[in-house]
Order: sequence, then C-alpha cells, then structure tokens
Amino acid sequence: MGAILIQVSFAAILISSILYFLAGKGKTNLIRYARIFFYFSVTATISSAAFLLYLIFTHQFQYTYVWDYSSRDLPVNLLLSTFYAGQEGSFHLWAFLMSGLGIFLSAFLIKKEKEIKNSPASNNYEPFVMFVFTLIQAFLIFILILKSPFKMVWESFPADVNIGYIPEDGRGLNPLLQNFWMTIHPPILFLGFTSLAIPFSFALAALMKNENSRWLKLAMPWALFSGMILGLGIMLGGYWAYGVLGWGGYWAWDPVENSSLIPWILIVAGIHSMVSEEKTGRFKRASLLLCILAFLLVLYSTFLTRSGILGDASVHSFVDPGQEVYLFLVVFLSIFAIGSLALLILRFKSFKPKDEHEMKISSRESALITGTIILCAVAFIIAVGTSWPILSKGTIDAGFYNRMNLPLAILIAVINGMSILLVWKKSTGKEFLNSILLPLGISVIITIGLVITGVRDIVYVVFIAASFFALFVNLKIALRLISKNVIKAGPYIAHLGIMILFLGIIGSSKYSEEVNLSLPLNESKEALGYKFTYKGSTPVKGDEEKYNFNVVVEKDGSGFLLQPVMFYSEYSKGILKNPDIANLIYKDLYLSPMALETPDMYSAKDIIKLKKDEETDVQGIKVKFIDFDRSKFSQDAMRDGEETIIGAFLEVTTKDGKEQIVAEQKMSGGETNTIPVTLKSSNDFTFYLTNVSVQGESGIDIAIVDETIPKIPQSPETLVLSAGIKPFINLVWTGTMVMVLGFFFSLKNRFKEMKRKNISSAKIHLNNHNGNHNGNHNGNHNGNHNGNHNGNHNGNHNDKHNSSNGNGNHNGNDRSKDKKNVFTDQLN
Amino acid sequence: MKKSTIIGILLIVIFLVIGFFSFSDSKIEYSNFSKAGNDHRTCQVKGNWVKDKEAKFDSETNQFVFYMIDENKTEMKVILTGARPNNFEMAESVVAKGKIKDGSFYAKEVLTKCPSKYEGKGEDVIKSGM
Repeated sequence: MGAILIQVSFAAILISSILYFLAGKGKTNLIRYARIFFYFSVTATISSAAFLLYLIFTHQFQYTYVWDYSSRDLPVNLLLSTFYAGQEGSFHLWAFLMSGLGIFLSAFLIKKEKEIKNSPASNNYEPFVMFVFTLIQAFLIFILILKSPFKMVWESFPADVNIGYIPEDGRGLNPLLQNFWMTIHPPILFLGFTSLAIPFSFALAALMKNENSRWLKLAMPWALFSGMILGLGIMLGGYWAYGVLGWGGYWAWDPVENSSLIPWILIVAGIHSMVSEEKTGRFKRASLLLCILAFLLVLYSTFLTRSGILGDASVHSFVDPGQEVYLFLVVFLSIFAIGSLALLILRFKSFKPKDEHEMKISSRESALITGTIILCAVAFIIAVGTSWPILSKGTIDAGFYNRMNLPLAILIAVINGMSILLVWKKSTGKEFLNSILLPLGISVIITIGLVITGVRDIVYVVFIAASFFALFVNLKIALRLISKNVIKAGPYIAHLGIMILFLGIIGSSKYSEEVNLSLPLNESKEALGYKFTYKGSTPVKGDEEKYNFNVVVEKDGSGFLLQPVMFYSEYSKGILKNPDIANLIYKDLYLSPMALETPDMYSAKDIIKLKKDEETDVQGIKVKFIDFDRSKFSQDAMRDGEETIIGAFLEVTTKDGKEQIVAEQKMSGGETNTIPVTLKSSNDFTFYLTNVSVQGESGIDIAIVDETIPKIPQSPETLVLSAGIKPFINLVWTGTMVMVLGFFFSLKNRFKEMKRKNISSAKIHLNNHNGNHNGNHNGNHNGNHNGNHNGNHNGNHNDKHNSSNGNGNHNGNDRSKDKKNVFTDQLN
Repeated sequence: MKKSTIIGILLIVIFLVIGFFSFSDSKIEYSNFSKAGNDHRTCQVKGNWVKDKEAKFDSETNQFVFYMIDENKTEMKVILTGARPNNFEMAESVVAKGKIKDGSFYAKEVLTKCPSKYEGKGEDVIKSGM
C-alpha cells in the first residue's frame, strides 16, 4: 500500500512539474491543473508517511524497515524517530518535508500573484518556481521507489526468510541514538536542508524568466528561514555529541558534520549578497550563484554521506545504499548542477548591473561583499578538506580546518564590526572614529585583562579582541533598536549571537584543560582544582542494564555528584559510555568514563605456560595439562560473539594425592573472563585459566595462586576517566540561540514589510521606505530621514529617478520625490 | 584594472598559497609501518590487532598498549595515549593514527572498524522471531 502511494505520488508530481513548466512558458491556463496534481502528490506523500508511521507504531515487523530499526520496547518518542533512523526513512522524511513546505510555498506564490494583478504575467514566479521545486521532489520520490521503506522481510532476505513470516520483534534502535536528541535534531536539520530547495527554485526561476529584480524580495524570507533552521539543527547535533557521546567536544570536523555546515555558510553568504543586491542592484549573479550552490551542496552532502564513499573516514558513515541509489544520486546532483550553471552562464550578460559605478573601498557595500567572499572562502576550505578522501586514500587532520578558519574568523569579526559602523559614515574620518571609539575601547580593555590573566597566544588575542569589538558594535545598535521595534534588530542580534559563539568556541577549546584520572574506590584525588572520589557503581533507574559510576566532586566545602554511565550493549556488542557534565555557568566540568579496572586476582608471576601433556612443578605441587574441554564450547558462538566456555583438563598432584579439575574461561562478545577453580580436596590453591592457544602446539597459560601465603593488598576497583574543564562553553549554546533569535526577528520583519507593502499599495507611504531599503537600515529611516544613507542608495530606485535624486540624500524636503519612488517601486 | 581588483586577486593568491601548504601538512595518508618509519608526519596505518599478544591499559601512564599487524604483515607495538578504544576486542580491523618513535608506533587515535552491525542480516530476522 505504501509503495503504491509513493508511485502515485511520483506520477502526480512529474505531471505537475511538466504542467508548471508549460504554464510558465505561456500556457497560463494549465496552472490550475498543475496545482491540482501537485496537491494530489502532496496528499499521497503525506499519506505514505502516515502509513509508515502507522506500521511502526503497530509493530508490523514483517516490513523490513520496521524490523530493522524499531522494537517493542521503545518509548513513543523514540518509536517516532525510527521513522528516519535508516536510509529509506530519512529520504522519506525529506520527501515529506518537501510536501509540507511545498504547500506553504504554493500558497505564498499564489498570494504574490494576486497582489500584482495589474502587471504582465511575466512577473509571475509561481510556474517556474514550482516547476523546479516539483522536479526536485520528483527525483526524491524516485529514490523512494528505488529504495522503498515498504519492502517485506522475505523480499529483502529471500534466502533466509519464508514468505509470510512475521518476526516477533525488531532489531531495535541503535543505543547511541536512543535519547531525546534523536527526536529533534534530524527533523530540524532536514527541514533546514529541505528549505534550501526554495531559494534555489527562486534563483533558477529568475534565470529562466530572465527577470532580475523581483526574485530577491520573494526569495529572501525563505533564505532567512533556511539559515535559521539549518543553523539550529547543526548546533543541536553538536550539543548531542557533547552531552551524550563523551569525547568532550561538539564539533569534530567530521565529513558528515562539515557537509551540513557548508550549505549553511553558503546561504548565509547568499543572504548578505542579497542584502547588498537590494541596496545597490549589484551582485545579482553572486546572489543567484550562492543560492544555487547552497542547495547543490545539500545534494553533494547527501551523496557524500549516503554513498559510503567516505566509509573509512567518518564516524557517521551509513551503510552503502547500493549501486543504483549511488548512481542515481550522482545523476540527480549532476543534472541540477549542470542545469543551473548552464542557466547562469546563459543569463550572465543580461543580469549585469545597470549601474557600474565604482564601489568605494571603505563603504558598507564593500565591507558586505568582502565578508561574503570570506564566508565563501571558509566554505571552500571545508569543502576541499572534506572531499579529499574521495580523491585520495587518506584523510585530513582536523587541525587543518581550525588553522585555516581562525584567521578568516578574525577577518569576519573585524569586517562585521566595521561594516555596521560604516553606515553611519556621513562625513569621512571624524564621525566614524567617534562611533568606533567606544566599542574598540571596551574590547581593548577586556583583551588586556585577558592577557594579564593568561591568554598569551597572539592570534587568539587578536581573535578575542575582534570578536568583542564586533560584539559591542552590534550590541549597541541592537539595544537601541530593541527599545523601539525589536524585529528591526534582527541582523544585529544575529551578529551578536555569532560573536558570542566565537568567544565560546575559543574559551571552550583553546583554554580547556583535561586530565586522565584513575580513581580507586573511595580514594580521593585532586585535579583541576577539585577533589574527586569514586564511590562505586549503581544501576541506572529505569534501565537496569546501564550503570552509573558515581563520582563525588568537591571544592571549597561544597560538592556535587556526577554520574557517567557505562554499559554493555547487545546491539553493538561492545561497551558504550556516556559522560556526565556539571554546568557551572562560566564553565563545564566534564567527566568522561574510560574504563573500570577490576582488581587482579592473580599477578603475572603466578602464571605458567603448559603444553599438552606437559607437567610442571610449581609452588610445591605438580600440574599437568591434559587436554581441552570442548563440551561447553561452540566455534560458531565465539565467532558470533555469543557466550561460550572453553575449558582445560588439569591433573593436579598435591601432598594429598592426584586430582583432575577443569579450569574454564568464559568468552562473550570478544571479552574473556577466567573462572576461578579450586581443588575438591583443598582450598589452598586457586587456578585461573588465563590464556588458550590452539594454533601450532596447543597450550594454555595457568595462574596458580597459593592462598596460604599472605597476599599483598590489591588495589580495589578503579574507575579510569577523563576529567575536563571547558571554560565558557555555555557561550557556544547561548551564542547559537541568540543567532537563531536574530534570524527569527529578521524573518518576522520581512513578512511584516511584505504585508504592509501590499495592504497599502495604493496609499503613499511617507514613513515606510522600509520596503524599499533592506531590513538593516530600517532603524535609521523610521521617522528620521537625516541623510543616513550612503551614496549607494541610488541603486534601489530604478534608473529614471537617479537624476532627480542625484545624491541619494533623503531629507525632509525630498518628500514629494519620495512618494513617486515608493509608488513606482511597488509596481516592480 | 581597478585597484580593488588587483588587491583582491593578490589576496586570493596569498590565501591559496597558504592554504595549499597548510593542506599538504595536514594530509594523513594511509601508510604501513615500514613507510611510517621514514615519515615524520602523522599517518594512519590500517591493520589487525594481534590477539595473542598483550592488550593492556596502564592507569599510571594512561596508555593503552597493544600489538598490530599491518597490511604488509609487519608487526609493531602500538602505544595509544588514552583508554582502550570502544569495541576493541570486537574489531575486525583497526586504524592507528600517529607516528613511529623509538621502534614503537605512538598513536594519538585508534579507530576500530567493527563488523557492520548497522544493518540487520537475514539470519537475524529469524533469530528475533524466536
């Protein structure tokens, strides 16, 4: 049933796509049918998703996907997340999100069309945007046909499973994925990826229509939405890694992580380029290119992470999806890449800016563009490093990214700070210097303070100073705007967030300290300014197979309990670990468990080696190795990691006579544990089978402990862990949230502008130049036209007005001219 | 050409040159023990750990010591700074990243490649049904 829904959806979306294309080419009456087929496809896709969810929740394990990733014991939220736990499911999530977003996109476009009723049909973006969007969706759904989530177990494993067989339970979800973050990180991340298809569609539509002014305003809110959601999704992944995985970090420059970061950087660069375009009419091609690249890189990232091509190099590597999907992904990526780049080249000349004035180097425009270029450089560096394993057998040391990105981040901070101040540049030097003084001053003071307290590395000093500088510049303006109209403060709040994030990154990585500690039971050790005491292990409430390793941490009289976790996982056949973290506001104290060393029951000197039939004199007795005891042993079990026992028959001669015993070793999941055994006749000696060798000459190692000799006190059970201090790591999370908030306000601002502009399109705005200027300047325009525009203002109004507004200075006297500008602009 | 364009191109060239050198330094190639001996850079060696030799963690020095055989059948002692890697016993093969010093391979990272248990197999279907 699910497969049928997918096929139906595919047919519908394909038809819809063709109809949209034809509608765009002139057959406008077809648009109604295009929409109908689109909504039909949306319904089919959503139904298919609902069906899969239904199968999961009703535990229909005869479906391979349900069996492979879910099980009866999963709580509701994790059961929900098994939807996207595997390849097929994650593609389905993608298709589902495309459907959902598609509805909003379609509504948005239809509304926009109604608003420009009087203008020629060529201004309508709906057909071509929807054409590209539905084409992308068609490719996605086709992948679902190639790799269906609705296969039955007997179809997937024809050799092993009979038709009609229904497994009792499923394999379950990988324990590494069984936590809260699994429910939110993938959907949000995927929503971010999916939404990048929209600015892409707008860009291609603009190129196809050869229309170069409207696309920007239409695409901008969607680009902002992508930036907001994708940025949030990426950081959630980082927080998950930090809090659950235990290697103490939130970013490993892992190929999968990198390939989600690159599209984000590109769309952020795109947004800035679009802002510049809005203000100056230039950089249209750059903006288009960036929106296109952002989505192409999403496709590339999908290819990188799904194709298995990075197999050895990434901890995220998924299973090879199979030849067909691999090839198809390449085709998918190639078609869209070649298509979009061809369009870009075709329209290269016609999108040239009408206004070729020389850009002043010290203008806000040039700062914006430089910033955009630097962002692209960062994306390029990461892309090269990440793709390297494809070209050669080898990986890139993570230090490469940090080394290369650090100077670029410094530049970003400096340029960001300067660019904001450059707006205020009315006259050249003096005013600029005045405005720069305060933020610069504060940053210098703070930096000197930090140098005194130990920050010595010059590069980091510069970086910190630059970040503080940009932080204060943005903070100043943000505070001013927040009191008036908070949504106008969007960009400044977002930049503020980034600078906080930068500071958090430096604090928590460069200045973190880490030590390895061995904590014997109840014995305190001092480290990092704290006293650590291991108090033993207790089972975790609610999950008896997991163990808390309780560590009491004390400082200056007060203390707290940290409980890192270790447990053996049947699923992964290995020991899994979770850290515990104390959030001390200005820093985190991070405990990552490494191992539990249990006391040795014997020491190395007690061990003797015996070959078959060999007898030896040791510690006053004779011991002979006769043969192996394979009665409880299974070769298959050992290979599969299941529990099995191997024994050795020993003949022991003591003063009391001869006795035969069996010394045994239990093997389970690769771990070997010796089972102590004593003689029936006396407890004087304990025998431990420590090693078994079946290659060449069969032999064993036996440890023989004479219990009558007083033993040296053994070290008790010891917890080995890594303790770390991570200063200011909370700034990382805070910074990201602030940045997301900034995006959100910008988005809200854009929507408000759009509504206002349309409601009063017949009215003449005196105060609302907002719609014509980019969002960043709104705070400066509202109510005070005091010449706070730089010379680049001209570009916004179409050329006929340039002559009347020679210097772009809107002061009160120009109001009559302004009216005209506003009115004509509305018609564009 | 415009002044700004010249400056721009110059900066890009400088950036690319620095990038290239930094990049070459960061490359970690797959190698084997004999090659690694001559290489001062960090490299990665793929192989299997020797099950009959010791594989122990020393909590005093915080080092995990084991023996590894690379693809050319060269065996070497590996000293990892850190604890026993996850799933070490289960590992089908291991990748050690580090340098050779004084006849031993000092690894800063050891990755274990486990039999791919991320995907279920046919036999598992039957087993889970029991």
